[in-house]
Amino acid sequence: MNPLLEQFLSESRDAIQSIGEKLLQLETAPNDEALMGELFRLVHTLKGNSGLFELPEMIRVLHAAEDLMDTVRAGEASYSQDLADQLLEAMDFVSAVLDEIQQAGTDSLPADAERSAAALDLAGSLKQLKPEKAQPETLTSTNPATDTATESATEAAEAANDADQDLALAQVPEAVRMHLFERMLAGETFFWICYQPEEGCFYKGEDPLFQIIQLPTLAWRALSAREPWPAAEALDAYRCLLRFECITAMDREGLLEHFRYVPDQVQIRPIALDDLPIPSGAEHDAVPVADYLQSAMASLHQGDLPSLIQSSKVLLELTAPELRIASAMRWLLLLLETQPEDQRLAAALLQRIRQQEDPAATSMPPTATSANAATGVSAMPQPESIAIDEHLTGILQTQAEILALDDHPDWLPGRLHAVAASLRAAFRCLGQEALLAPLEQALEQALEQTHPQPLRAWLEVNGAPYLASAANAMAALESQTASPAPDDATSLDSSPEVVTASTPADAAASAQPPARKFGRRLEDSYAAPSSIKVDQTKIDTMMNLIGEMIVAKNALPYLAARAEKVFGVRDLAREIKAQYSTIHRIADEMQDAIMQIRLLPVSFVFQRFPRLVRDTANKLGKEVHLVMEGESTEADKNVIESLADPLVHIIRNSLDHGLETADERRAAGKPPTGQLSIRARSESDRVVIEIADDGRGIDPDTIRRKAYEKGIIDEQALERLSDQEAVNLVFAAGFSTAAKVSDLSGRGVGMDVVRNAVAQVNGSIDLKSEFGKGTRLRLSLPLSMAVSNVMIIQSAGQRFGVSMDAVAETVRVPEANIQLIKQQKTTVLRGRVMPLMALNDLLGLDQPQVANDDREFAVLVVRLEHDFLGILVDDCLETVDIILKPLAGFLGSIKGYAGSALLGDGSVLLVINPRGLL
Amino acid sequence: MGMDFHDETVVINDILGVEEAETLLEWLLEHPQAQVDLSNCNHLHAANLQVLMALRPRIQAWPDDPELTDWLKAALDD
Repeated sequence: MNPLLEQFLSESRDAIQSIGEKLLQLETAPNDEALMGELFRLVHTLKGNSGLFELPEMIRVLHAAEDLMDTVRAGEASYSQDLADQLLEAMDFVSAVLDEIQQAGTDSLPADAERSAAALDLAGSLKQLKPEKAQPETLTSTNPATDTATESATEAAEAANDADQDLALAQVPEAVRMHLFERMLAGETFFWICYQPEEGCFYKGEDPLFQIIQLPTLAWRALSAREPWPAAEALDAYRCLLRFECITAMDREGLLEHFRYVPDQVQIRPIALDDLPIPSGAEHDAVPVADYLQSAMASLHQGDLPSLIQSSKVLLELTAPELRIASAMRWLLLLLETQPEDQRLAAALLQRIRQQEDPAATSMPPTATSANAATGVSAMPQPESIAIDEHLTGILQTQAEILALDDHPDWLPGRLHAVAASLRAAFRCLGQEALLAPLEQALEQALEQTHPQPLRAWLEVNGAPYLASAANAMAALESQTASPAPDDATSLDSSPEVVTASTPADAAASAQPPARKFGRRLEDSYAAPSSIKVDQTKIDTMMNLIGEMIVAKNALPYLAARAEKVFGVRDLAREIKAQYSTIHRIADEMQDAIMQIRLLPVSFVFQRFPRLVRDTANKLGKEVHLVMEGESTEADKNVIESLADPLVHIIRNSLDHGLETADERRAAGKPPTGQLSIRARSESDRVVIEIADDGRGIDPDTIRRKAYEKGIIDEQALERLSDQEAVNLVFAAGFSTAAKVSDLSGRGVGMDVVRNAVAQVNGSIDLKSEFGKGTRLRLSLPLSMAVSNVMIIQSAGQRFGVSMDAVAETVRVPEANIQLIKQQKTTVLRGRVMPLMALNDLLGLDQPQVANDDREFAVLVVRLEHDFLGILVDDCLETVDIILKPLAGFLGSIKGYAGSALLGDGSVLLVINPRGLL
Repeated sequence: MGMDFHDETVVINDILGVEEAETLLEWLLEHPQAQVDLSNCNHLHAANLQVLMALRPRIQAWPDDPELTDWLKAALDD
């Protein structure tokens, strides 16, 4: 799992928890606008964050929640219990998705029909709570059932009625349909897809055309406008009115995956065999079809296919080919030819011809089609008299009972398949093949929802004539299963089942929503977070406390000394020392542990560099390859944070001044792409960060000249400076080498700012540059700044501290070895001339340094950049760990001291800043 | 990339992005008799397609890509 995802998970959980709290608070103060605003902001942030990942379902739900919150915030809707329930449920869903991500360890969850259905469902319920004023339709109907039905029909992809599909298929050319028919007989399956992108989709970066073009193997396609195009002048190019329709052999899983970001804008329906034979063509009134129909029906009934084929061929020859009746004849001939043994479809077609061509003669009640359309019952006439075997009834009844079971075992899909297989066989046996296609649809819906409801609804409608006796048993079971779901009543309205139910009476029976695992409550999940969030101040407090503890611990050696010297109890002193070493070890470990908490990987700063380098390089027209290493190197939070700005500055410098353009590089015989590397590593108790480029390097002569022009060095220095010293001049204040000031770097606030920033966290910076070959900057920083190790020195009867980082060594120099060169005390140490300064002089104390009995002076050799300076002190004492507190207030401006610390014996130690003293 | 406008023809090259839809619309409004040459077009954003569908300029040449052409013809070919 990548760090971004981890952070997302932990932040989202926090947000969900806060949302829950806010909702509960709102319950007592429903009119609190501040709370409402806060709530909206939380949902909004959560949605925004989830947009970083591939989580379409989550975004869908959150988007709906956000919309709803927005209307509430704007005062268009009021806060209600219902609303809170829905929002909480939505958050439970989000939480469930988060759990799934945590388990999977990746943000790309496989498409899951159940999850999408739950998301659609929730989004629908949320949308319903929104006031309807934005809807252009006038929903005047007073019956809430029809209202929700219209609403859900647009929501649920599966729920649109069959008439739609009939209409759509009728526009498919007959030849294509016939071809499809033949391929379906050969065992292929096809889906009809209608994709209507929402009007604002262009603003979401969607390209519906690109989306639909990716679908492979299309058998047919159509592209139209949802509403007539407005006049050219009034056309809004960015209001999407497109409707894509196509027929594909792709499987349902693939299609759902393909459209998983826009499931509510796509209708995917399987094409059944009996959907295809639709006579299409021009109307006519001159052809006498009544006689033909009568004889055709008769022939079909008697199984006299040859004469039926004969008469159909005659009629086909008699009529113009573009007429509808000709189309019907072609279909009829095709049906008879391809499926001579199965006359269901042929009969249905003849019935259809009769309805269309001879409406007066039709005896079919017109309601049959519309009433049954929703459940997918075709317009076939029910065979009046079929002797039903009682075993068959038994089979149907058993299936009904199985479907009525209310448990949800893992093997539910298998059970559904088994039931469907039994029903398929039973209805084929009953000669009701035309009902099988709707059965398949019902099966698919059931599998999708992992709930037997669609199959049950199908069986209730189609099996009713055969199940008269079994009805009572079913009703009994029904009442059992319907009762345990009263708390889901709010989400009922949006569940697609309402639409599939054919009559209001059935609606009540089928109103039980599909049980979904995403409906579970927050408290059901036990995903224990692996990390906790702590306020930084709490850690700082701990840090201070351990610091004080270390100071207190340091008091023990003094106590031991007192016990021995003042009270003369040597044994006690020894025991105290033993105890001290134990406490010392524990305190050290504790300090380490607390420091660990504050550690951050340098990637915290590094992660912004790829973008920075890319953008900057583009702006400058340079080609740069960035190499980063050791991003996991850790250091104290303060150190890492203080690094951010200097590093950005250094990188900009490298890109702007260091690296050449591709042409310049080619001319210099280098590869055209410049290389910039940033490497971090730990070196004992320090973090080292190296920024190197293979650019043009720094020309020491240019630096010398510039420095001289700017008055930073004088003429003598100009001659004297070594190349390395000259290069280091870039750190001097007010130095900028850029010939022209660009908006990237070179404003005169250059490397001196960087050096100061690094020095502030006790870091050092080192610059190496080879002219023409590249530059390397090396930053060395302490792992932590909390506890410093200082050496205590004595001078003029006082004790001072000097940071051990600055101390190179301590030596004793005999008075005889100290010479005066131009009033400056110097000595020769290890073959080098080293200047000496008395601490008392530096501090303005009017006392001479005291030498020891052998006339030797104690010298503290400190490192200042690359020079060494000897500081004469009276004596060097032990080193201690202290918590350095910077001087505050008026004392803060005294540069000579780095800060103060409390010593174990209660005295205050002033820590000298050698650089500030000079 | 994008479009080249000639007297009464617009040649669409490679990929026509969503931002171009407005430009295309304006140009087609100014040139009601214009023709569109799509032979070099590899893809055009649905917003552009909408413009073409609404204004119905004559298509001088269809794209090489058969998939794209099939869809465009479904929308634009009468």
